[in-house]
Amino acid sequence: MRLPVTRAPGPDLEALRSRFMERVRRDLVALGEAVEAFESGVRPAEDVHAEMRTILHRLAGSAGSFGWPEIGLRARRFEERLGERVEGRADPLLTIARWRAEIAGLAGLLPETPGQPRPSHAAGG
Amino acid sequence: MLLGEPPVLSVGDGAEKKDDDAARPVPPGKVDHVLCVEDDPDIRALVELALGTVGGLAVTSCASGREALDRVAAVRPDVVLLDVMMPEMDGIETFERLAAGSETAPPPVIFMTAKVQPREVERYLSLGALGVIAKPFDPMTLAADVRRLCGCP
Repeated sequence: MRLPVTRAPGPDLEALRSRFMERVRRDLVALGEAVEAFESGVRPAEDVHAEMRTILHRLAGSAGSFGWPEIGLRARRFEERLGERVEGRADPLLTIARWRAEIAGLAGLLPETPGQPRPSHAAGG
Repeated sequence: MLLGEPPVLSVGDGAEKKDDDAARPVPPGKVDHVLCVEDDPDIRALVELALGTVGGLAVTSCASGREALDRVAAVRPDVVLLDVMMPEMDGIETFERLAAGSETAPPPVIFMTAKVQPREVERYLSLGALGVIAKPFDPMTLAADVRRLCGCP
């Protein structure tokens, strides 16, 4: 029987994490731009919502795998609240200001140096 | 654990199988080669690392359902790890076309998705999926989850 040859992910994983974190930063910029477009009315609301939901869904499903579960959970909550508004179960608090606060909250979870986990995420090695 | 505690759900290893669930496939019992179908390049790279480097499996990746349909016959994977939410052709349609387009038995499919509400999981399994792995997945245990769903000893 041939046993699988395995090794620790090491530097390969760290490179992927750095690349992923750069994408998260771009995603947050895109979310901010989408909110601006919604506020100014230059794009249909449905398009803006769809773009935001796509970004947030992707974040929610991936951030935990790269070692940032809090980002994923927060993105999931944002996605769900955005969905409530889109589907007519509007939360009156979920205004443009609220969306900006959600985006700022996500940004606050990012490591200060790309690719480096915040201290609270580093536990467990 | 290296990456914190991402929630991982993997179902379909037989515990949920019902007697009248004829669509459920038989686990292949071995897995050496996985075909990963995932539109997100970062996730694709992480799956390759998790299954290949960490798990010791051969991995072929496709960026779309269309590419998977074009390549599956040549790749002949033991199992397909299939994303659900993809542009143009989603995972469900890819799954159905894989099944419909095979002259021989199609490879078993494990859905890997963030859409894991109970009714969604029930739908995947009733379609004939071997199992479901929830996103976010744990890259350190993904290969073990795949092997378990494939019924490997």
